[in-house]
Amino acid sequence: MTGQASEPSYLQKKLCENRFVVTAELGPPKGADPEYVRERARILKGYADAVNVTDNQRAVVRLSSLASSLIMMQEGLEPIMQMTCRDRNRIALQSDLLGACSLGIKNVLCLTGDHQSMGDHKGAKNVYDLDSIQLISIIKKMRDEKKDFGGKELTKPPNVFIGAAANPFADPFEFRVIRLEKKANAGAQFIQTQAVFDIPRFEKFMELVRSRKLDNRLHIIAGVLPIKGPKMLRNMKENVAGVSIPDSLIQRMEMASDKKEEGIKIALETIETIRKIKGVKGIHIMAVAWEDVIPRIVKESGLIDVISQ
Amino acid sequence: MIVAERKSYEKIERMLKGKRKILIVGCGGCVTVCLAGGQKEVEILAEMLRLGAKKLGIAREVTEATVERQCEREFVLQLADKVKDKDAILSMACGVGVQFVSDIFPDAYVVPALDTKCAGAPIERGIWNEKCALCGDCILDEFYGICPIARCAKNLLNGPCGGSQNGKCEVDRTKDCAWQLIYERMIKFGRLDDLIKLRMPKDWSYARDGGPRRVLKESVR
Amino acid sequence: MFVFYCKNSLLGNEEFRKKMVEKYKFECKEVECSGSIELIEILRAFERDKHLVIVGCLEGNCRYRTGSNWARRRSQEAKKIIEELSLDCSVTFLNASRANESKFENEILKIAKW
Repeated sequence: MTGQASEPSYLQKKLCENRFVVTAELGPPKGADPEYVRERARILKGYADAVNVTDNQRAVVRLSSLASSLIMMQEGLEPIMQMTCRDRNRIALQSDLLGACSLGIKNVLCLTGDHQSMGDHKGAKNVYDLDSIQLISIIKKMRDEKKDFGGKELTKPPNVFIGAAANPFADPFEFRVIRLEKKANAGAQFIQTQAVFDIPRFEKFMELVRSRKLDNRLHIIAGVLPIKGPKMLRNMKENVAGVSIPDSLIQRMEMASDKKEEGIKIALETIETIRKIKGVKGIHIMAVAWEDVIPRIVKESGLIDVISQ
Repeated sequence: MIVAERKSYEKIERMLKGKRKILIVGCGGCVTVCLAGGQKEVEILAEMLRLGAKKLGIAREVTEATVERQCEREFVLQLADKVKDKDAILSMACGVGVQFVSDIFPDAYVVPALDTKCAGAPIERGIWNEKCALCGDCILDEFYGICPIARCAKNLLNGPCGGSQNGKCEVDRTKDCAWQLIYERMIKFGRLDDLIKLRMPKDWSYARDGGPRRVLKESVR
Repeated sequence: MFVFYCKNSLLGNEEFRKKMVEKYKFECKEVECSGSIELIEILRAFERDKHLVIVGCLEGNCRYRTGSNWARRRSQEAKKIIEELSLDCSVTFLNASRANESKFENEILKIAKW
């Protein structure tokens, strides 16, 4: 992790030097509990170049991504702070971005955010003052033009590596690549994709990405989600928006004698295949409430060799 | 048009607790069209209140009236005699009408029988969908006739979110994803390149966010 | 018990109707089509009688095409109101074509017992 405020983040440095990266994800607790974050940071340290911190994911109130990112940094792990547009207006988002960068947080992932009807505060007021693309362009303006969205000069611009999400599995399919290009135009520098279960569709997506030369403009990190059992897959297929899960995968999990082992096996196979796809610059492992499995996956997939801490 | 729906009977009873002489006022405008607060609905609610009073064993006198529009002074003034001796006025108009009656008869206790839901239109008999969010700065020309502010759950301006699937919205899978509809229109008009245009954040100061709006027409003042 | 009946239905037959009225002692009103009975009429009838019956033709057999469909819908709306107000009332919609006298009688008997 880089120390100086003006230096690029470790993630940015590695990607710009064309080195393959590994990122992971940490979901903060529902409580003012820094120890929870510290424990998980300790598990992940040495097994990821940078770790995402979610922002009230699924519209469920949790320890803020900004605070969690700071706690993570104190453990020596580089955070990728997620920012969604659901809860904060442009004033709060710019303010929190300045806050994050002033504390040394250098990677930000800009997301639209799950609608509040998905979470545990369904009556909350809708914000969505900005969408993820507008947020990207505003952060870029703050960093490069040293101005806020209102046009006022900043005393010190934020030093930030801007990321966004891509979902090759939502509809309309063709539009997903256009949307990716929009994000690149707005100023996105790295992309993390939704979990890949449908490899052929992902390959098609990357083909379109390359045809539009987006692989030259964006560092694309492909998402992998190790599954614990067929129920989890079926639940995702039915309830989570924008996932594409082939039935053959569900069958495979159902027939497996040791579900968790099979889930790990599938994750390892997925990593092995997609890391070779041209344009893929890294793997993003999302082990939902199963952070302990990440060290094993990183080791057995051979990704441990690309991580140097 | 404004689309509204009658509140539950229970809620209405609670609002009228202790009120003996009640005037129910209907409106011949939008709420008649969406079958929520027109003359027919006034009759039905009046009868329900009578039957309800009998059941509760309380004395209640219900008078009915319907005016052409509850947001027009000359029509509401026609109610002056009827309003005089009443303990409560139960307005079956939209939120605008309820307040208008209350403004014109400031000594009266005026309560709403309806929940005003949206500015919308029927897509088939018995189904009204929200179409306009009253944002004060119409951008329909940029979106081929489909408003992303009103019809996208996240009022996105740069395309669908990751939750759009099979043309439906992640918030309610029975509702169309507005961006899927816009996308289809763009294809129809051969303007898919419009999608790449980066749209900047909306100026919400024209919407309700900027404060209650006032519209002036100087030429008639 | 109060009965609204469509004149094309089974109760339109004077002989049968007189027999039923004598046996089960109810008052009734003839309408051109069961679909013409408005919800407000049903509610007002509750002021006098606890149990209402609407007799219409079989759906699909209505002389006015959709009349009996509307009658069924209105009786369902009335049922909702009965529930909302917790009224001690009932409304029943009966399809009664001229063929099914005994079936009809069974239904009337049930309601008469309430």
